[in-house]
Amino acid sequence: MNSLGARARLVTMVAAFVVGAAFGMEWLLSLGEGAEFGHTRSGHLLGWVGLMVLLPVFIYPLKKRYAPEAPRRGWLQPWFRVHMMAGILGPVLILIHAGAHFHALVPVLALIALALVTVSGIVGQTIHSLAVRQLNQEWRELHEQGLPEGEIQERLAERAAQEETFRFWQLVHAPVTIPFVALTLLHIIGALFFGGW
Amino acid sequence: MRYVPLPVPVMPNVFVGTLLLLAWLGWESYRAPETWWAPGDLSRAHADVGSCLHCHQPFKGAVSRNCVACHGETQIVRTASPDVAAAHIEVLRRKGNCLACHTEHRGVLAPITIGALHNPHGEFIFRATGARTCGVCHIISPEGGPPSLRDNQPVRQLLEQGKGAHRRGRMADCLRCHAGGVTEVGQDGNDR
Repeated sequence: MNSLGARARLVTMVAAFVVGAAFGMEWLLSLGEGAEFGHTRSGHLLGWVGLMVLLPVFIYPLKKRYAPEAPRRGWLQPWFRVHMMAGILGPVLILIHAGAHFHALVPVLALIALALVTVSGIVGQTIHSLAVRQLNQEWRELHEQGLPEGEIQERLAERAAQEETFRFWQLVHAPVTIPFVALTLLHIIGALFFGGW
Repeated sequence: MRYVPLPVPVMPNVFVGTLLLLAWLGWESYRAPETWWAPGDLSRAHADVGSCLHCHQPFKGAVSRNCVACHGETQIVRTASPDVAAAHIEVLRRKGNCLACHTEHRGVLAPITIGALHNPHGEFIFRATGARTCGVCHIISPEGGPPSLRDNQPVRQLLEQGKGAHRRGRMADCLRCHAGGVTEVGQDGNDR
């Protein structure tokens, strides 16, 4: 748990820095404009780019759900990397597009939903990667002790079960995606309705 | 590591919850659209605008045609100084875009002219003088440059009542007499 705490601190610090940097960049980009950056042509464009970057994150869960043979064939792992990369880069671009402005509640709710999905994903990945690393380490140690494979598997299954108790993040990550998509669509429709094409 | 799927009722419940959220947003948008959709409060100049569609045309944004519905030539000539009126009438006649110079939803006290001068007096000056815009006391050149004072009744009254305190370079001392935001100050300098 100590390594988990250290990693959690590091991830929190990096996330806070990235959020601050994104809001700072929006502030810089707004200087000299007649409006906040998000309401300029470049700001709109960045919002669309952020959305386009974000869209590939859905390929991984869809493949996992509708192509159960994917893990065996080994083509799920690259999509998981895409899921993680796009799931970080997309929200950062959207944070720059949004800036630290919290007046209109529809985009604010969409941003909160996006934050919940992103943070829960980061928490999940942090816990999961640490657990996998610990399992591999333990597997090596047990092998070196010369334990039979059956006993090793039994002990590792116990350890894996402990990791599963930390899967509370899953209860946020996938479900909040649904209100996020709905609120984002609503925000886009509203922006086009009031702001024009 | 074993994949643990979510409990079965989670996703259907989230779907229903999202539908309820959207229905609530629809109702709230009907009741208070500015709270849910506007990027900021309307300026004091447009505080009495009753509907988003007074200025916005669906899927076209705020359009000059809607600005002109209220700010036509007659209204501009009646309310603006001759130089400001002339500049605006020229734009109206060539069917120029109002949004090239004007903006909105930046806050109650924010200027609606892009690149407009900052109000150094704060909200207090509007309460104290009853003015609604900077142009009541100042002549603001469309070419830019510092604004000059008008020679009209609100300005004369301000200068007389301040006994020198309201002259150029002295306005920053306003809180010496107007501490707490009081607008009326007695003969002895105390508020009443």
